[in-house]
Amino acid sequence: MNSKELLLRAMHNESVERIPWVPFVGCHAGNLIGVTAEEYFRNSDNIIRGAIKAFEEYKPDGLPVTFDLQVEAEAIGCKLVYSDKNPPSVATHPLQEGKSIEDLKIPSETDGRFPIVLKAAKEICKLLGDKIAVYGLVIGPFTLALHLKGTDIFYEMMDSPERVYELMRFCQKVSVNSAKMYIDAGVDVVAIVDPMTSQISPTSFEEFVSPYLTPVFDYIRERGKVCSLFVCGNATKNIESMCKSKPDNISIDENVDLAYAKEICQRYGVSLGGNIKLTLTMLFGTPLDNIREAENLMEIGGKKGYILSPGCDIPYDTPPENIKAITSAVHGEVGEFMRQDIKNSLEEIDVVLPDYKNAKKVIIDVITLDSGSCAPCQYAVEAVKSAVEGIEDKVEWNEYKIKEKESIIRMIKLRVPNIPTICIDGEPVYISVIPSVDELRRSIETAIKRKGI
Amino acid sequence: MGVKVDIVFLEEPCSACLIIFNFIKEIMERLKGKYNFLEVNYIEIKKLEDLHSIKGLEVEKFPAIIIDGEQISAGTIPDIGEIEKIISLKYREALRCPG
Repeated sequence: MNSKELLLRAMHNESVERIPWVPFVGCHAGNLIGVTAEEYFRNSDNIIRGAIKAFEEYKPDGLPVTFDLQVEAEAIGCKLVYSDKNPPSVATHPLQEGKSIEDLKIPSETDGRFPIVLKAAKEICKLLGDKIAVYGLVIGPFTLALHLKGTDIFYEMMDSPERVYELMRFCQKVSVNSAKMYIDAGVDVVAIVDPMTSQISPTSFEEFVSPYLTPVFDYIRERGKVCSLFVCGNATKNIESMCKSKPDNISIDENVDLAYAKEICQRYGVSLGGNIKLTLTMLFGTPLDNIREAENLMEIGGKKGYILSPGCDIPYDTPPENIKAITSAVHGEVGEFMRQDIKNSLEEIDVVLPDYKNAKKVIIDVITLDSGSCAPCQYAVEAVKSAVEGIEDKVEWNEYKIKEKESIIRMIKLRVPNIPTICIDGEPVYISVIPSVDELRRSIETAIKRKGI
Repeated sequence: MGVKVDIVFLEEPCSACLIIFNFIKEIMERLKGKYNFLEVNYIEIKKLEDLHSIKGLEVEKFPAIIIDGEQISAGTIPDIGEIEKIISLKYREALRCPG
């Protein structure tokens, strides 16, 4: 099964052998290819080069064509302000400036930056579409309504709801048409990105958003593609309403507890993506912070219907090493990543491994990130502790945390590819797998017998 | 004598935070036009250490609004009516206790 098939299965809430990984690379691609965010967003060749570079560097299972929630708004008439390091911002709201809904036109392939984005979508699908799933990102009806109307929409929701319904009907048509254009360009997944729905209550979501979202999802499914709903912000209260709007998948940011969202999504048969912290972890954290967070999220998300991804689009200046660290955790290549990452500073350190064969006890090495902060690592250590109960005189065990350089050397010498790994007498036996206490106990007893202890 | 509003935002926000920040800016510009005693400062966070020096910041979600040292929102679009109420209250307090 290739990356694309893996991702699409997970999106359809199926069990998969490895958790798929989708880095939401938008303006960050500009950084990867050495151009500003504005140069990236305004040029299809830059968008294509950025996607290819992200594909090569981050080994994803899926990638968005780009991540710009302003394309539709600009094509309809909102003025944008471009920036060197961020996506463009909406500076004007046509419906606040005397225009009416009748004056607004549903954008086509030739409006605004659609020619740029769609050209990039076609080319990216051609170049990468047989290997990974390509996402077309479409602005959600509610966020588009806010772009067009401004914050006055919140008052109209109370005072003149029928005017909001009318605006939402227009925005729904825009979303359907954008989805159509992306699907015609060849994308596999259409994500409706509606972050501003985190600003309203579940009651308002069901009144003002769901009736206009569900037909968009229906259209995408009719075209044989996968539909996803992205939100950002604290959407905890709306997760259930989001699921009821019938997307195949939802994607959440760091403000929502992944375990909570997972439980609700599974109840509705909806798959879930998320929610690596963008600022604390990806932008400002270390590679180890990123590995730790990826490991923890994958532990919670599990292998059924879960996609590892950032909470929203990756900031421009995010160190590529941090994203590669996540990639290494996904692909079981943490050992190799750590060796590459710090090889120069390891030269002066040496670690002598025990003489496992002739040692008078069975030696268990648990290689972790840190059992105090990495959930799977904690479970591995707890499994070992329980499994050796009553046979401590025959077994010696130690935890080696790879945040210490000596432990990285040990990890490399033991040929441990990923964390957590439980080694028995120098052999990696349980790699990224937490055995049951009984199973581990049996493995240890076999080793004891082998040594004749 | 006036009311001081600090808007704390990330230098590189995600798309959603950027949209919220722009709406907050619009709301503040509207209020500035209405209340001449309002002083609005925009504080950009470039690195995590910058957070330590911001008086009144309690919830580190952005954009955050701090009015006279009291945080009143974090990562949400505020209700302009609520902001006006708080500003008026703070102004009356300032008039009662000048300095």
